[in-house]
Order: sequence, then structure tokens, then C-alpha cells
Amino acid sequence: METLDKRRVKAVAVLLFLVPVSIFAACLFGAYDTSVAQVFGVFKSAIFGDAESTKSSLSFIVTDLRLSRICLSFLVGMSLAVAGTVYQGILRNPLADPFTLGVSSGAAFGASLAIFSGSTVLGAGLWLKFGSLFLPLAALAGAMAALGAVLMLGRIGGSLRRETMVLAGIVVATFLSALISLLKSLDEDSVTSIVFWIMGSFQGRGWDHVALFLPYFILGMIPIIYYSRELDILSLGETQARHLGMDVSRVRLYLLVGSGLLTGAAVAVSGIIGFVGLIVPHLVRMFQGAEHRPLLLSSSLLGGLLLVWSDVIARSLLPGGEELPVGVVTALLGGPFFCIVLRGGFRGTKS
Amino acid sequence: MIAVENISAGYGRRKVLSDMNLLFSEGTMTAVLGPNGSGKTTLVSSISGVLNPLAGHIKVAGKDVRDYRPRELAEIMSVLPQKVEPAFGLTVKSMVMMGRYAHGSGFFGYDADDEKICAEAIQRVGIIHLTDRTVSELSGGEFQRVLMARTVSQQSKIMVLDEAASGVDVAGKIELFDMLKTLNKQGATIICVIHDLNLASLYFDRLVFLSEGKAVLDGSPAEVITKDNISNVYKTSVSIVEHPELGVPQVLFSPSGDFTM
Repeated sequence: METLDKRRVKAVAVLLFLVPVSIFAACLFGAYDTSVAQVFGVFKSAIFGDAESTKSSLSFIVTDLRLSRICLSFLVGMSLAVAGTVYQGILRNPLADPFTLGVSSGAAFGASLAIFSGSTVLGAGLWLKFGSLFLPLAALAGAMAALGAVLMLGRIGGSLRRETMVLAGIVVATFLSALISLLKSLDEDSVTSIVFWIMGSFQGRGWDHVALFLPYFILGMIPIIYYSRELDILSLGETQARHLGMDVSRVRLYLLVGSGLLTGAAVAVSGIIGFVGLIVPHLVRMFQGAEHRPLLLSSSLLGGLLLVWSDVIARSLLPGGEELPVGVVTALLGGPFFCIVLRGGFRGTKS
Repeated sequence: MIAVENISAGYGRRKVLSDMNLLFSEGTMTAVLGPNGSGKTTLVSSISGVLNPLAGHIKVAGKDVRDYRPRELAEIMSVLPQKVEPAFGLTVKSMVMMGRYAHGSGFFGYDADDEKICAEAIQRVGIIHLTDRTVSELSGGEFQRVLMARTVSQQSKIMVLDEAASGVDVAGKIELFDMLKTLNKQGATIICVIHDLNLASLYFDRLVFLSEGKAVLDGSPAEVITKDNISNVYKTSVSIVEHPELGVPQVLFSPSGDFTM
């Protein structure tokens, strides 16, 4: 049997090879037909700084419309997979995902409020001021507020405990869902926009959104990378972590804030995309074991790839430039695929 | 040295230990015994600093256990907890390496020394053949040995063990307690919760029996293992015999009803 270390190296090598290939290949798909040679030409002139051809409409389609969206979906996929891994480790629950602690509901509420406010004077002014970034900014604010509320509620009665955290997440998420329903019932015109936003999509996202997302991505990744080894110990539970000499409250707070930033920013730019954060850590764990450092690395790459290709399907499956919400694609693909893998996995352990 | 001073401890409103005083001197090997629910685990949790007592102090080397920083405490005290459920399938090697966490130097983690210490601990506990397996596929007894190896790799002067050998087969128990005795001879202070009276009598210098939150018996095996004492603590009738080779007392139990045909 090959060792886990060998499997890890193999997984990362394959994934690292697939990343540039996928990013290039995903640029071929879209409403306008583009050939491999054309896309290759655009990349070549962009890299070698051919000023003339970077201004062409073909170049605009490939880099500004497609590549920006592909980069965003890759980063969001990475973030969701990493945040899912962290939440599963901290909560010691393989069914946790980036949305377990209510961060997504906060973002959804922020976005709903922004959509709803479009019909008011103040809201209309804000829409004018921030343009296409108003929605993600509002969602981000909502996500951060929800994370703060969960951490505060979870602290009631002393230290931050796993059970109280999950409960606080459920309370906050339920309350915010009720508020979203209230907004929907107050303004029927905005229902479609709210519902569509919540389903998750990369339609119309561009470099602006990448620029908005990137700082939170970096800020969120730092504590997670720094405390990746601690995740192994935390996954044994608080008592053992303390016995082994870890300052549990501090480490866990940094990890929660890091993954909260990743999730909040991801939801803000793309809506609520399910399944990536739940499935990817599972798949990787089955293949290469549960140690968190290699798990986080492989999960982030696989999560990015999965979302890039889900988005390709979302924007090229329907005829005539119509798009599916990418959240629907990940759920439709993820559900059955996950069942097959789980069944296979259990058979493997029995034999 | 560990001093338990006027400790009352419990969970919520339920008080499990009341006003307990105990002293564990350096280099001693003490067994904590008693029926289920007598407060053994509560005592161990208080000593290891994870349970805040309702009243009183635990002093480790003269300093209150709650005033230690987690890393500082883990350098001098290792704890083998009871009933551990691993959430994910980490490898045996990763589990044992965690014992070095308190000694580690941050992000870059474990160095060659740590690797060597862990390899020794794994060998000492007799689980080399399990090194690359994941803990989710181990049996209860095998997993218990992994925890023991982790505790050993922590290389602390004080070892607090809550049912160190539960689920381990008879020969395995002898192996583990032989090893603990050796560590004790090399200077480790050991406090171990144990259910097996006879093993306790074979290996430990001092036995402390808890009953209903109080230390009711405290002394060497020869002093405390008597027919009356054991019958009183466990509310069951026993006979005491002398070990044929070692001379220490051993306890024999009898069924409480007459089941002979």
C-alpha cells in the first residue's frame, strides 16, 4: 500500500497541474465562440505586453469577462473549501460547512436589505455611489455582523464552547432568515432578485469583485495557515488540546475569524454556493487522510477547480446565453456524486 | 509535587468532591481507586486544570494550576484522558507527535529531536506496527496504547492518567504498568486512576480510595487492602489473599448469590 505521504504529494502535483490547464480551458466557454488559438493568442499578447491586441474586443471577452470570473470562482472555491475544513475541524463535525455558524445568513440579510433599499431614497443614493459593489459590500457587512453576533452569543456563560457556538449559529441564522422573509413580504418586486442572489452566481462579476474579495481572502488565510497544525489537535476536542498545552480560546478565535472572513467575503461576491465547503474536505480526507496541513492545501485547490468547472457548466448549459445559478449546479452535481463516493468509501472500509 | 487543598468540585449544581486534601510528593506513584461516580475523574480534571474547582486550590510545584499558561503546564504535566473519541482518522504518528506540541517552536512545528522522541515512545509502548495506520481503524486497546505513547512523548515530570489501560488485554496491561513503573523509577510522579485492585496492589506505592467525593482510605497496599475496607468501599463481599510470589495483598470476589448447581 502506498503511504499517505506519497498520496499527498501525488494529489498536490495533479491538482497543481490542473489549475493552469483548467483556467485556460475555462476561458474557451461562453456565449461567443472562441477557438483555442484565439484564446491562446490573447494570453500570449497579454503576457508579452502586446498593447495593440489587448484592446481588441476578443481580448476584452477573454480577460475582462471570462478570466476575471474564472479567477473569482477559483478564489471563492478555495475559500469555501478551506473554511469548510476549518469548521469541520473546530466543531469536530464532518457535517459542518462554511454556513453552519450563520455567516451566510448574515450576508444574505445584508444583500436582501440592499436590494430592498433600492426603492428608498437613501438606498437609491447608495446604489448610485457604490454601483455594482454596493450589493457585495452590504453582504460583507451583514456577514461580519452575524459572525460577531455568533461569537458574542457563544461566549455567554464563560468560554466559547462548541455546543453554544453551534446553537448561537442556529439562533442567529434562524432570526436572520425570518428578517429576510419579512423583507420579501414587504416588497414583492425584490423577491426575484433576492431569491436569485441567494442561490449564488458569478454572472456579471468582474475584476472589481476580485479586487474586493482579495484582501479578505489574504487576511482570512493568514491565521488558518499559521494555525493549521493546531487544527489536528483541536479536532480531538478542547480538553485534550488544553492537556497538550494549547491556548484553546485564542487559537480557536483566530481560526473562526479567519474562516469567517473567507466565508463572508465569498458569499458577498457570489451568493450562497452550497456543497463545495462540505464535500471537498471529505473527498480529500478519503484520499489522503485527515492531517490538516496537507488537507487544507489539497482542499483549497480542489475546491477552486470544482467551482471553476461548475461555473463553466452554469454559463454554458442553457442555450442563448441564459445562465443557471452556480449554486444549483454544485448542488445537482455534488449531491449524487457525494452519495456514490460515500457508498464506495464505506464498501472499501468493510472489505 | 502536587497539593490538593480543600478542593470542592463538581458540574453545575452537582458537587462531586467535597473539601478534599491530598498531597502527591515528587517521585511517587499513586493509584486513585473507588466505585463509579466516586469522583476519580473529577479529581483528575481538577488536578490537570481543565475543571475549575468550586472552592480550594490545586498547587503544582507551589503554584496554582490555573495560574500556569497552557504550554507551561503541559511541559511539566501530561494527561491521559478517559473516553476519547477521535473525530477524524489521523494517523498514529500524528497523534503521538502531538505530545511534542508544548515543546514545539511554533509554525515550523516538530524537529528531528521530536521525531526521535516520538519514535522511542512508539517503540516503548509496543505499537511500531501501527505507526502509519489511522486511529479510526484501531481497536479500543490499541488506541489506548497510542494515547499512552503520546503521554510518554510529552516527557513531563508529572503524569496524570485516567484509566490508562482500559480496554487493553491482560498481557498488555502488565507491559504498560511495567513501563510506568520504569518511568517512575526514573523520576516521574505518577497519579493513575485504576479500577483493577490487584494491578494497583502490584504496582503502586500508595492507594487512595474515593467514596462519595471523599478520600476514605489512603496508604500502602498492605495497609489499606483489607477485607473490611474493600467490602465497605465497594459494598460487596471480598476475600483477601497474599500474592504467592510477591506477598502483596490480592482481592478475590465472590458472586453475591449462590449459583452452584
